[in-house]
Amino acid sequence: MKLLVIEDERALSESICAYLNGEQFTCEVAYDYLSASEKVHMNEYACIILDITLPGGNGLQILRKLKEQRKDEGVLIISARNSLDDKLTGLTIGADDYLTKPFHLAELAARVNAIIRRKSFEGNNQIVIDHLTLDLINRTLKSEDQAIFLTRKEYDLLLYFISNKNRVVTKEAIVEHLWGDDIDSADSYDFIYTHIKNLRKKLMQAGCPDYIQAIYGIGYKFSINH
Amino acid sequence: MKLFAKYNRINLTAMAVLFVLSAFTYYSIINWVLIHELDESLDQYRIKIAEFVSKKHELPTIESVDDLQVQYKAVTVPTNKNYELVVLYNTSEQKNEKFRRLLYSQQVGGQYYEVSIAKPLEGVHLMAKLIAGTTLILFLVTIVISLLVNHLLLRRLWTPFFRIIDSIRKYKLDSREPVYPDTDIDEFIMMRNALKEMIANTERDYRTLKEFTENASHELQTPLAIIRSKLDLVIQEEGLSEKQVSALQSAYANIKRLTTMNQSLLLLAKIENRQYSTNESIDVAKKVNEKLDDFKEFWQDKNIKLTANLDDSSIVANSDMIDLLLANLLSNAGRHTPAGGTIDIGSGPGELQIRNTAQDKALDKLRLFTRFYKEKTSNTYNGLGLSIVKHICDQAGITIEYNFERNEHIFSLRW
Repeated sequence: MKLLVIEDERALSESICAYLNGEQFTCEVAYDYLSASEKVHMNEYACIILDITLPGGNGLQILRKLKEQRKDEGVLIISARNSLDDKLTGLTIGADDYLTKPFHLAELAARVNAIIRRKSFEGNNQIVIDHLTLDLINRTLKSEDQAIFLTRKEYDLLLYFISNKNRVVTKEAIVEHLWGDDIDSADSYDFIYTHIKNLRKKLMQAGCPDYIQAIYGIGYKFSINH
Repeated sequence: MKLFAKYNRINLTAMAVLFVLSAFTYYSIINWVLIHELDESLDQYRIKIAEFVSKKHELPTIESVDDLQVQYKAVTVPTNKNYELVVLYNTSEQKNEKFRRLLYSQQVGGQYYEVSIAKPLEGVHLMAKLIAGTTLILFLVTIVISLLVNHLLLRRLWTPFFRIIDSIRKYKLDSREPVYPDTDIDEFIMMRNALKEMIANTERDYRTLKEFTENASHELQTPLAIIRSKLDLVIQEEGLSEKQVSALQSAYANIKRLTTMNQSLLLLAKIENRQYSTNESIDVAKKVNEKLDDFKEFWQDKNIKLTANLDDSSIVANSDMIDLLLANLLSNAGRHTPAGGTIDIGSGPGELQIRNTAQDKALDKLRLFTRFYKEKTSNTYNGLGLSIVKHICDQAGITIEYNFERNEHIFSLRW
């Protein structure tokens, strides 16, 4: 699947591409309004990652054109301006999601995956990965026909890991994803260990391999070995 | 001292001095004039005697007309004509009185007589006193009238001044421009214009400063995003050493800290800019419960005991702001409760109270809500949370109060 990263800060768009490029995605980049408009017009993408402030024009304008042409690409706005107005305007014009800088790349990956899943929902409301089958509508998990009962947080956690498979994800990013920005009170993020331990136990009891690997001092990695 | 009082004080002193001087001058002049008149009448009498002597060659018999006292005395040497003030016995009044006396010599046939013609001064004094008394009364009347006039007229004249002061007192930076009263007094127009100009300048500077804060914070977001994304890439590398991991941890933690601080500053700027103005009715108890679901887990981890008595409570405010308010208050409570402590939350109509066990002493009530206030400097907490809380409360019309009782921090909100 092709992604387009429209972001004038080269250092940031390089990071985004380096993180997202892999077996599932290939990234293209555009650094200004003109080249971005051209690319959007010429090609089709699974998802467009769009910065609002661009040299030569406003990212929202690209979004408007996209909607005028009735193109069905998913759009994720990334902006330094986390003002409510921008967010509302973006979402009203037809963006699928909005992420404020600075974000964790893992969070970006999760959002992009969520958008693509939503866009290709027709007839496909399942994620099948290795032994696991996630039902996205009923939010249930099966492992080779055996149901695994997960709590809400465990399900979200698993989905987050799947969106970031084979990548190291920090505890901090996990906490922000699951509990939001409000929770900045924790001096250490060790409490998520309980959730991870439970998820891991449930998966292994159902006969799955140990997908979740702790990376010392940093976080966790969900790996699928073929 | 009030300008009126000061003015009156000076005015009255000047008038009193003027009065004393004028009364004294009046009295002297009138006294002099009257005595001069008296002298003339004494001289008239002397001329009458001289005429009588030249006709009849003898002194007229002494007759006392009015208060006039006339005496003759034979002398050998003639005395010079002389007016003087003397005390004599007044036979008609039967007491000693002051008299004006004319002494001179009259020659009758070769014999010299010393003639003394005297008139009492009583009338003169009486007249002088009367005039002085009248002046005093007039002066008192003048004072009373001027005080009254000052009081009524000046109060009326100063009205625009007090109204200008009043509108300035009610004025708050970045709110509606004060309404100035109409006036045609040049001084007040001058003051009003000066104030207008000053307020316009201040507002402009204030706005520039706020815009700067907001822009600076926005500009910081991108480099922060780049640094964080680079760190996210670095940790994908395999075989990081323990030293590298610990350096990365520290880098992450501080990016997080910088991000939070930056976002808090932005938020403060936005609250100040009133970017959150849409209001709706919010079920406070329900909102607190939602938040508690998230926080409980953290608190259990620290072995903090939570008691919540949430009675129905609602407020009309901006939903996002109330979210932030609660998140800040709750995370604050959690942060400052020692392991094994308690957090009590209570709500009711128009109020919300959050108490938590204190780690040590009471917070400084005066500085508590100021930006970057911290009890300990080593803390990674940015010291903006309570400042945000205060800003939100101010905007939403909530009064917030901090108390310290029985080793507990208590935040009480009322609206």
